[in-house]
Amino acid sequence: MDTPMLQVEHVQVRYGSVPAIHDLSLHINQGEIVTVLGANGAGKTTTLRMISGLHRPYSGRVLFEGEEIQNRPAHEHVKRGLSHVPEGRRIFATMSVRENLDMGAFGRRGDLKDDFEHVYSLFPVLGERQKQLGGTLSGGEQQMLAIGRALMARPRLLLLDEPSLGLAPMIIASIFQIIGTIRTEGVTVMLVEQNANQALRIADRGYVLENGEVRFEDSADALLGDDRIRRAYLGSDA
Amino acid sequence: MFNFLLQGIFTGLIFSLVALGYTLVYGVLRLINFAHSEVLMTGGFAGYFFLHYTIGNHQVPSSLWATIFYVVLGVIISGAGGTVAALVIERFAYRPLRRRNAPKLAYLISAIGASYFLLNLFGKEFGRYPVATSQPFNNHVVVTLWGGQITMYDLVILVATLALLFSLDRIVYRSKMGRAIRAVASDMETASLMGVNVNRTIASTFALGGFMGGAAGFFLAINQGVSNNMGFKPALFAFTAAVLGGIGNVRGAMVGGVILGIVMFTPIYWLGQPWLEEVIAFSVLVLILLFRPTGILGERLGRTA
Amino acid sequence: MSTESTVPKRRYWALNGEDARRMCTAIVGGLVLAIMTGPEGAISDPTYGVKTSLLTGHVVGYFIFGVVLGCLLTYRAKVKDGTWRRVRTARRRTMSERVTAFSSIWRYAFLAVTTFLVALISLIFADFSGPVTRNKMSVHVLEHQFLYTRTYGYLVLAVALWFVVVNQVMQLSSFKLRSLPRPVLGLSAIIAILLFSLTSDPFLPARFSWRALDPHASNSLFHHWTTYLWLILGLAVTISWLFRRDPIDGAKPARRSRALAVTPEMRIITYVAAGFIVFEAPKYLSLYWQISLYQQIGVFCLLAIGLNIVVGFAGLLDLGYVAFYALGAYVTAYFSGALPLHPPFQLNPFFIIPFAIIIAMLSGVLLGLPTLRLRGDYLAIVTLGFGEIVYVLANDWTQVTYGSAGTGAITNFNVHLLGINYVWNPVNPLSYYYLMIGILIPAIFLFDFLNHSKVGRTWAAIREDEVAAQSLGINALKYKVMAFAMGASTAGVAGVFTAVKVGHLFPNTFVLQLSITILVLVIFGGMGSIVGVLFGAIVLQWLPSYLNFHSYFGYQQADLYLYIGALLVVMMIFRPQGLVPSRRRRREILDAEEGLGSADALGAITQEQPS
Repeated sequence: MDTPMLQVEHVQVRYGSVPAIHDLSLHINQGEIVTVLGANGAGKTTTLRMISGLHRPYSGRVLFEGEEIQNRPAHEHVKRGLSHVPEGRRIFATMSVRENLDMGAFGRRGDLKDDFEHVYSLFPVLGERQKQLGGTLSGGEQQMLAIGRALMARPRLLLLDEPSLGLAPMIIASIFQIIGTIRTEGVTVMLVEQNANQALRIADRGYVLENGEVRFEDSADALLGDDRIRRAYLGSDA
Repeated sequence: MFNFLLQGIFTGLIFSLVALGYTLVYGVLRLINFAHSEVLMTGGFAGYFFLHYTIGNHQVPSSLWATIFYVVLGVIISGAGGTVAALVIERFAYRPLRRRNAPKLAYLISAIGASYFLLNLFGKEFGRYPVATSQPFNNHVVVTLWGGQITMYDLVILVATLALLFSLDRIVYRSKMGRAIRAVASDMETASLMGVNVNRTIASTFALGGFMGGAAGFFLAINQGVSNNMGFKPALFAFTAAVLGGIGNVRGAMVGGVILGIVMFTPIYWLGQPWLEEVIAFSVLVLILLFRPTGILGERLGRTA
Repeated sequence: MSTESTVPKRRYWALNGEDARRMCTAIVGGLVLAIMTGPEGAISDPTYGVKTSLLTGHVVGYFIFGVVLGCLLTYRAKVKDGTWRRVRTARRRTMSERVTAFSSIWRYAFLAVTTFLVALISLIFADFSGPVTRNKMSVHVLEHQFLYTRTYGYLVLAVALWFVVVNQVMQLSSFKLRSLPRPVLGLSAIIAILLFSLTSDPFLPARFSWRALDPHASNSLFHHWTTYLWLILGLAVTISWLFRRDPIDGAKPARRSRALAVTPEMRIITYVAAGFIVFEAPKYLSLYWQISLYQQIGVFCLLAIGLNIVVGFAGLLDLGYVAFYALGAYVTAYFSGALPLHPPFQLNPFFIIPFAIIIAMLSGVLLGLPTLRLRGDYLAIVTLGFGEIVYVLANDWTQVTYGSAGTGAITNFNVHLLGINYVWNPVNPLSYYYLMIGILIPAIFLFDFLNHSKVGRTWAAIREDEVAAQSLGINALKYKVMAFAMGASTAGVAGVFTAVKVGHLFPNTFVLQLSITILVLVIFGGMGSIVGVLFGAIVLQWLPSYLNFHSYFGYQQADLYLYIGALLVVMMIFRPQGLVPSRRRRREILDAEEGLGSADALGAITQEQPS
């Protein structure tokens, strides 16, 4: 088979002398939506931060399209086609919506007109609020802006960290729908979520992390059907 | 009295230039760049050497075009000197610490160290006493307004500083580099996720501030000559100006400089003791910190005010 | 699924860009050192200084130094990050084992080569540290060095070292030397060190004389600090070696600790030796050193442990520390009637001390309260401004301070009590020295006690995580202001001592540079550690006094602050915790570097997330 788009091999990540991720291996194939589940402190966010170069692993390798990237600085990843929507949105509050989107395409040259139109078609709200400052948007709009901003870089792999955090159910639903749309446009998605139920519904495969290690790995449907997972992460009544 | 007011405004403009260096670096790193006074000094020396090797002991050029030529070139060369100094400081006193994620105290101390090193290195290589600079123009009184005299020097400062401030404002708020600077100022990590090279952006912030500081050094050099500790006091005043305008706020630094200049120099008319300038400036600093620590225009540079 | 086996294991032998960068840095560092120690330039010939430093033989030693440093750093980094771990075999062979594996001819060849190298290195060292500064590489200068006994001293040392190496080698080979009992070896080590200190002292005439051993002779060895320095060093080495515990056979300690294991015997010996040196040795020093001991070392020890409260304990930066020192001094002048403003009553300097403390403390509180409410780094600039203001007032406000002309005469310490009449005579620095010891030692114990009390723990809490500390109900502002005021009052006391000793005050004693110097003393030894700070103060204050006489390594007095600046940067980059750090502070700095907590009270440098 082809080499996977992203491959994480035996990675250990430490904060000081405390390992946050022990020995993590996972992979993501071209065109998939893969979700990473787990309780608070299981190492999900650290995994994403490590992949996108914000935190260097202590040992192990990360391969993106066959190339070792674990020791490259974060800003180079964007040019390779790997974009990360960080936890908590992290919108540039004093920049306008348009400037925020502009920032997303920072590493690119050339005409951005099509990209702007593409993002505005995905998120019409952003088109209406082009001139508004990022900090004055609502939580859902900020999340849309964060995703739109990442799309401006024309990524091939999109890392999403808790896109549903603190949002109303209606907005969550529309954001998950858009994630599906993004995939149909050929972008591979790695999705870290607390909201396991919804994440598994749109995902192809899933990993369950516990204490910095992969506990389960299976197709999304199988994980949805697995009793242990239901009890631990989906709530017994799900 | 009007004379003192004018002096305040023109000196204040120089403070604005220097204050920009503090404010830019503060905006991005949340650190006071203690070595900024040496940027000023390096710019001053670059200007000195430029004028020394072009004009030297020859007659002071009197035509307008010669003046423009020397001033523009001088500002560029001094600014380049300041830029180099700022980059050196960033490279050796800041970046190694950032790499290691050092505590803030360490940055302040290493900046102080770099400042002292440069100060004394220049003292060692170029002597420790002030030297007069060759004049690039004839400093005659151009206009007299209500008893206040505006000299050629003042006019040059006014035009050059306004041009510099305007172009800096354009760079920060309109250019791609400015956008990167504001993004890094507001959130370093997210900026790097956008593909911004954070190290390079920080360096360019230092370079921009360094250029402004170097240019200010050029004007100071023309007026007061150069010496290795020429930067210390103006830098202290400029820091006060930056805090006055709201540290981290580019436009605030511009306004703060002029206001501080006026506040510092005008009272000397009544008090008559020039050394009280410093006492006034310092009192202003403490008073702002007491009553409005965020400055007149508030703190921002891509950061919520 | 695992593709690990398909990816070939990489060999990490190759040096990468990082190593090249490190090497370049070290070499550039060497060149900068060469410029730093080179001749002075002048603005009329701006390239003279750099040109002469870099184009003459002067630069060669520093270049070699840079290369060696680069190699060492590379080696250290490579071993540390594990890249070169594979190079080591399971059991490392020691040098001596390797040598004994040679055949006899090679063994002698090896000895010959090492002998030659040892001699060469010691010569180069003697040459570069020697009194003639320019053109170190010229043979003429090298010849010149042989006029000084110190060159022979280095040769002796080198031969001794070489002997140790050879002894090690021979012990394993067939003609084993009988190992001598330890006390004999220890004694001979002490004698060797004394001999070395004798010959290495540059004050001595070129020719050696036994009169140097007589404490009362005019050119006695005991008049010089170097002797004591070497003695302390020698004693430390010998004692630690004598009381070394033999490792149990076969059992290797899990991790070799770098610190000396402190045995009770060693502690007693150390205290006795320290007491002897502090109380007895100064009597034999020359007048120059006695004055330095008080004026350069004693006063600065006091200043440094005071600043240590602010920087080390509370984690704040005070750049105008000298202002409080000046305040103390001018308060003394005021109550001595040495200022144009006459006091309501004149006081004996002993009674001025409480006034100085109160005034310095008050000004510290007044300055600290508004500033410390804000970000801690504002304190740095406000204190910088305050220091400058105090200097300006002292220099220009002639109606109050006499300005740059200097104050009138300040009364000496004196006691007229119960029939005792004693006046401290400025000509006799020792009397002041003992007085200083009398205040320094209680201060040291007081501050150490504070650091280990509730207050000290609170400071640590604020340093490590101010928000968490506040959430526990700690009034951080109160404790920060307290530290700031305590530091200030210590400086005030030091001001009294200086004022009384020098007799007349001049404003240019109290310039900003002095604040920076004191900061360096604290940083060098290790902020937060009283022992470290005292170590830093003694070494760094002693060294310039010592170098004032001879330009070892090209030292020029005017360049002192150049070195100090460079030292600050280098310390911050390579060893922010100082040379003798306190364990807690060191831990904090390392933790902060890993993103856990902070190590100062200046607020977080990482950016707050916009919510």
